[in-house]
Amino acid sequence: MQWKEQDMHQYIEAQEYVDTLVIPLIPIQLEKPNEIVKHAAMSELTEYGAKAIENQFKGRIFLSPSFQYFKSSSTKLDTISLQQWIAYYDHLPFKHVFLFTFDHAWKKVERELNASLLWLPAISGKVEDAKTSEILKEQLNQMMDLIQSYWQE
Amino acid sequence: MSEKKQQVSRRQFLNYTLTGVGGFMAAGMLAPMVRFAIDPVLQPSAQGEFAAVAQVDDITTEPTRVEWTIDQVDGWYESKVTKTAWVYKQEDGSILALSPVCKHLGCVVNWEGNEQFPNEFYCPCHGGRYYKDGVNVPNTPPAAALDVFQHKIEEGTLYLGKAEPRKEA
Ligand code: FES
Repeated sequence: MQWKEQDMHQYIEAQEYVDTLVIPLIPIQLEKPNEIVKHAAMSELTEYGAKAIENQFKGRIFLSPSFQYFKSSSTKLDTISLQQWIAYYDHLPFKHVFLFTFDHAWKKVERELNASLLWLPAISGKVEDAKTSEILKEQLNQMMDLIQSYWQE
Repeated sequence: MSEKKQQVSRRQFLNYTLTGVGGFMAAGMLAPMVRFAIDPVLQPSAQGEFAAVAQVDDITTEPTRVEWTIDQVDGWYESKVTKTAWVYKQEDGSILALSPVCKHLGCVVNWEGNEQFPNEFYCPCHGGRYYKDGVNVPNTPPAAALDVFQHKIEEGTLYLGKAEPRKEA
């Protein structure tokens, strides 16, 4: 389910079946030209990938609006704000909480967060390119297998 | 001076507004006529657009996944959407194209998606199951059969249209 009016009608009816939350992490970086492009591409991939996962598992996954954060070379990642987001969702009966990102920086602070980090290595190129989309599809398939393995526990 | 400036800009503002509204209204009046004038074949109709998805000769009795892209307009939002179907030849040689969208809450089902249930479609979300012909297995979450795509065959190519709820035989 996505955070959309239409989906929420369904969500309200079927809440007990939707036990998995996915929060996409979207970086914003406006300092160095090549970093700007890289991070914008990363954001696009994240949004695209998150939607693809939601599409496969629509009936069980709640796709949260994206958590957006500024990324500069000088400041630390804002784990506190993100942790607050996660805590907010604690009121709801989600059994699994996943963070979805292409930014490896989160990998280093994973332990401070009360959720499972789904990290994919960033690939260069646009989603529209055949080759990039092939790689991305493969990555996403593995990610979806991983999510399913959490469900089987 | 400043007052004059203001007046001009206010007049301009009014001008813009009026042309804006006028233009908008004109467009509103024109639009339906334009629509009629266009060749109906070019009109993206809500119910009947078919896309070529496979060669009929390639289709076997084993359900295979086919994919195609359509332009979807969702209110004012237009996007490319990838559609998928499970396609196979039935006993009598006719083709059946099933929508992969689970009739429980909309996850995507897989053919033989679970080893325990061979020869069935399986939904990974809540264990929904369907027989090969798309009919839901009783006492699993889905309450209806998988939707069936409208299809047509032209010169050996399979075209799929809209997915529709299955009519009970
Ligand atoms: S969405 Fe398929 S079983 Fe629930």
